[in-house]
Amino acid sequence: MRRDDVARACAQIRQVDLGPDARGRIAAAVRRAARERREASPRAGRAAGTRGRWAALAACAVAFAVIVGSGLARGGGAHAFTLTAFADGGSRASVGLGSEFWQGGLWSFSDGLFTSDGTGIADTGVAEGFAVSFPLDLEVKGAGISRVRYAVAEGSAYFRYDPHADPATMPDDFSPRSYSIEPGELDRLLPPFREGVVYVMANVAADAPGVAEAWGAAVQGGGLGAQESAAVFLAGAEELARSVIEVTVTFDDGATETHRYRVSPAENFRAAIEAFCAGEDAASIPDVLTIEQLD
Amino acid sequence: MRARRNEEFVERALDEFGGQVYRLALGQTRSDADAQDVVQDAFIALLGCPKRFRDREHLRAWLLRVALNRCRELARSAWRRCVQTVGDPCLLDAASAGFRNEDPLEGLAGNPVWEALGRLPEKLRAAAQLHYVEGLSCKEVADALGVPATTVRTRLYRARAALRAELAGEADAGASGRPGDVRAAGAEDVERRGATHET
Repeated sequence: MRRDDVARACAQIRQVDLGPDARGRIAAAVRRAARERREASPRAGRAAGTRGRWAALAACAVAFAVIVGSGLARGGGAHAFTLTAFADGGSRASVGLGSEFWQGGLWSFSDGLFTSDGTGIADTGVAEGFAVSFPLDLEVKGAGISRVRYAVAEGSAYFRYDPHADPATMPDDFSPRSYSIEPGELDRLLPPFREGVVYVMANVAADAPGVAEAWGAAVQGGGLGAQESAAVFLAGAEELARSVIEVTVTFDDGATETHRYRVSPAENFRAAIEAFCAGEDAASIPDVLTIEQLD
Repeated sequence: MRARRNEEFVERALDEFGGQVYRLALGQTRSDADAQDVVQDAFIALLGCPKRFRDREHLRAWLLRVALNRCRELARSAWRRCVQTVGDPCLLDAASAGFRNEDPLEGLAGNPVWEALGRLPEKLRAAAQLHYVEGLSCKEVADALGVPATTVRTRLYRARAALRAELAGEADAGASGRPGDVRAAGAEDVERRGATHET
């Protein structure tokens, strides 16, 4: 191909631009986001919300059930829940789970590709297999919160920070096993308009039960089918269920409050993921994860 | 106290850099709908960005980097992977609503450089598109990708070799009447050495 032809082809690419309709829609979205930010600006005495976004798995289909007996109440949106047990018991903070729909998924990996800075796949002793990320959006609500610390108290689950917009936004003390944030530090009103996202991850060994076919497909470079994806997600969820997540809230007056949680796959987990991967309408798929407050 | 930008600033940035951000996103996602989403995400992120930009090039680099990160998120989204197999309902909705009456990808069909770029690995593709199509310098590409300029030069070297092979392959295929799907050795090498491969 001659140099002139290449230059002509590049010039043709450069002529592609946002159409006026698209530009108008984006500008409208910007104005709407700006308005919502203004309306949501902090006011004195208003309860603060701190959200450590644990995003991923993808799926408009994935919603979350919360198991805390009679202390359960919905709040904060269509896919958010609030554990009111804390507040009812005189505690000053409550924790909710929301869902992030469009993030994450699973990755295959092999030995030697681990990172220790919290931005990649952490070494959990699994030499090769899949890293699965889950869309847990744990939000701590309460008045006078100055800091929230998330930690993996037991098990091999870990946190991964994805600097969506700017690597400089990573929490200072971030590690695969714990991190802490201030209210609003990672929060954004409209997903995915965030400074960064924290995923909770689980590594699944290539020889784990049920994932042999998926691993074979991954090694050959092919995509995973619905059943294979669901099998890997289920194995990841089971690994997650063997872990305990600890949340510690520090208030402005220095007081702290700590609770521990376990997140597990619901009975319908695999079927729900398969259904979604097969194209079923997300709204018709029931909750697939449960969260249990341990103490 | 973090400085926040107002919508006027963002809209001015959209006017100035929206096209470049869109083309980069289009080159990465190969989807008009996804590219528009990426542009929207990037400029709304700018709305809340506390960073102080030194100059317009700094702002452009930031926008391009945000867009690339968003493209990567989209690429590894299981939602996207799943939906691709059954058709994108968002696209269908938009089409039925009359939002998209022209697809820029149709206009680029048959553009040999565009198609050859599309066959490059993501890292090479982004560097090559920004340098050879958008005309950014190595330093500017490095700022946008968040990598050293030496890395950009290496990527451009590999991309150039791969593109040359691609374009030569197309020319050969065209001359012989056979469809050309030549994969440059350089590109394959890079992919093989790639760390984590998404499924």
